Amino acid sequence: MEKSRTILLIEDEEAHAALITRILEEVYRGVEIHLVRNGEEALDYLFQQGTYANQEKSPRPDLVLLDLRLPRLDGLEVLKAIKRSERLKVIPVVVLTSSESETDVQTAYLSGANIYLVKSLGFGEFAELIRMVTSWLIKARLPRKD
Amino acid sequence: MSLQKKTLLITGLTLLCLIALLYAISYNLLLGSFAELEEQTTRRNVERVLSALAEDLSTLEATLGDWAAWDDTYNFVGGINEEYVANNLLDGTFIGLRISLMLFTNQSGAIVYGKAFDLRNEQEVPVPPSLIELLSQNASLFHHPTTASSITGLVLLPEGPLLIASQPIRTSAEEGPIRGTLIMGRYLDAQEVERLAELTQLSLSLYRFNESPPLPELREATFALSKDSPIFIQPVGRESIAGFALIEDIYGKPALVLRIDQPRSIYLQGLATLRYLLLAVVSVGVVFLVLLVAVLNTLVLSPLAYLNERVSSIGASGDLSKRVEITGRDEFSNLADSVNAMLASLEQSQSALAESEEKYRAFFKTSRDPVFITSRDGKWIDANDAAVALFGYESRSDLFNVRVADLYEHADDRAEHIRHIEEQGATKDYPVNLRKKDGTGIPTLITSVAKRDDKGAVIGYQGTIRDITERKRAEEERERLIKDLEMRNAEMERFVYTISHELRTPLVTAQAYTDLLRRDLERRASEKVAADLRFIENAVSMMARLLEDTLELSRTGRVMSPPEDVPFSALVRDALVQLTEQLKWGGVEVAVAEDFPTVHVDRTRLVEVLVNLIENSIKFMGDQPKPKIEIGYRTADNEPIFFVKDNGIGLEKSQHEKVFQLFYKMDKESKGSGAGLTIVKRIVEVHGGRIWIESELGKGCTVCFTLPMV
Repeated sequence: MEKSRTILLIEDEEAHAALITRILEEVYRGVEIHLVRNGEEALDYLFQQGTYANQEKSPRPDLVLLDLRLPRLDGLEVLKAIKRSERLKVIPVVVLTSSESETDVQTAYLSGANIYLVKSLGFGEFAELIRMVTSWLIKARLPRKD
Repeated sequence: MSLQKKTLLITGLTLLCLIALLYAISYNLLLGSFAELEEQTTRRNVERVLSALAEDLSTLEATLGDWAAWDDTYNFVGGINEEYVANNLLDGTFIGLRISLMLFTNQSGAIVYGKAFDLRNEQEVPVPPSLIELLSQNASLFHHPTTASSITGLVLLPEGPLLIASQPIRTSAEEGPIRGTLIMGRYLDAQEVERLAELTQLSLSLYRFNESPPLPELREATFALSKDSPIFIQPVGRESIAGFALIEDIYGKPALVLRIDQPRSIYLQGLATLRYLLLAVVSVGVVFLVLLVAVLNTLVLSPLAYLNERVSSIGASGDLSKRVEITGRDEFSNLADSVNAMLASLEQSQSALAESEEKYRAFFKTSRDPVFITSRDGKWIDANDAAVALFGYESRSDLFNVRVADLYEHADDRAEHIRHIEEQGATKDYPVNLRKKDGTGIPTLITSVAKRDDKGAVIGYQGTIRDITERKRAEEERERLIKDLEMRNAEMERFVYTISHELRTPLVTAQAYTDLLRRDLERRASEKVAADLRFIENAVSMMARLLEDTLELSRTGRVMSPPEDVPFSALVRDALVQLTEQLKWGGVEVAVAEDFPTVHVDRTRLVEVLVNLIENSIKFMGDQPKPKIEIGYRTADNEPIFFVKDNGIGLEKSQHEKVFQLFYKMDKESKGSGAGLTIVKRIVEVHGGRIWIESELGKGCTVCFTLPMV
């Protein structure tokens, strides 16, 4: 029995969260997806504090999907917090955003993002993109769903 | 000292020196030769006396010759002629021959006969024993070797000097054998000296050589006389000159000093001549001097004095049109011409100067640029009307009562300005802030130079001031516009970025779910269709809302009704009317302050602001059991700060700025696009006000803002 993989999805837009969850569930079997809705919540989860103090219920993610524009605390701040932490910085972070701004791309990579992905129009294309990228990062460790 | 006196003095002195020189030379040359002549004459006279003396002696010798070479004498000594004495040796013989003494000796030297005679008293005296003694000591006088032998000379006896002659006694035929010696003597007494003096026409005197000389000149002569220089000449005083001669005795020893005295007639004559010469030269000199002064006066000094007086009077009167008149054609008329030419050119240049001064004055007065002249210590010397106007004073004298340094906005600026001028000699467009009478600052550019005196020391400054208030204002306006434009540009960029990003989100959703919807329909997964459609609908309505807010925001900047004076309380009232339902539904208590000031605003927009803020307060009350909203104002720095305060959930410091960002939402679940506060901020800022948040998490929130006052 393989240990199930955990993905932390940080996304404020309900529709986008549903969409990405659906894509991930279609691509991988037995993947555990945790969704947080804003930056502060994301840090609580990652550092296992507040409502996420229980380690059983909020396990350390193997991959983080991060939206940049978040209420309360900016996505970039979350990214920097992850990469500053000795414990967390090895976790691959995929920035997932609708911004195509070159400044955003540069800032994200400088802050330690592993991949910068622009949310593309059309489900097929978006799904393929997510599949490709995540497989690069966790393919060997995540069993494919048939 | 006047030129006349100087000339007189110099010429006189030169003349005096020349005369003195002439006198010295003549004195030395003339008197020298006169003195020489005098000496020669005196010497000759001495020689004359000596030769007279010699003559006397030779007469004595000749007489002696007659007596010694005479048979009678020969026989007498031989003892043969007894009557000889009685016949021949009579008193008369002595007187006639002028002899004082006769001695006859025989061959053996014994005196055969001797007779002495006092010629003055004409009586016989005994033969002086001193002579006998002298003869006994000296045998040569009566031992003659031959018949021709003869001895003459002088012997000094205590009785006086005696001229003596000695010859052998022989026959009349001058033959021997020699029977003895005949000696004759004649005293060189006063009588004899007088005779010699008469003979030579000279004043004579005799002194013994070895006697201590009674007179100083004699002492000197005794000292100077010797065998080698037997004659010595010596002036005695101015009037006479003495000649001395040494006379030896028969043995060659110095015996007598002969002295003659004669007046210095030659020398005195020379002296007189010299005096006449001097007198003549001085007379000529005085005449020359008088003549010179007269000529100098007529030809040089009086025209010079005239010229001097004339030029001084023209200088004193300052009237350059006057001229100097001198007739004739000499250096003075040339000088007068030159002076006249100079006066003419001076007159010309002065009129040119006056003209240029007038031009400068006119320029100074009418120049539209302020022109100033100030002293080094900061007092006014001159200023034109433009300068008076620039500083806002009524008159020049008004302005001149103010110290220059006080016209600088900062008192230290003048020192700094002066330092620049003096270091560089001048400044061009030096920026200085000056001050008007009423205290208003005037930004200016000053172009000035340092004024210096003859020695190069700075005495003041002059220059022009350019008022650049307008230019400065235009520059500031331009700066402000540029900054504003830059800000707007940045805002625009942010705006475009936000819009594109925000619009993209629902677009992605709609597109993806449209695809999914299609797939779900193909797979007949009907249970998912409803959810897919809901997502699509939400996305579309979200887009519509975004568009609407975007339009609203862009209108805020562009469209604004003209501002009006509205009491702030009226605005609050309007807003509360609009929100009556919501407030009632939320059970919110509203407290409104009294005595609000009146503001100058776009009424509709401001009501919109208040509505938005109150709505937000209602929205973020959380689970507050006694929700309350307070609308009021406070004053800080003379500016009223209006506020809307609630006791809701509040927000932490990090969110204070963010909430004003376009489409920023505190809570994803809340309604609205997140443009509300952005629009509020925009409206306040368009009015020229500021807006900010004072809040802490859990302690309610206060939104503060300022507005333009009436």
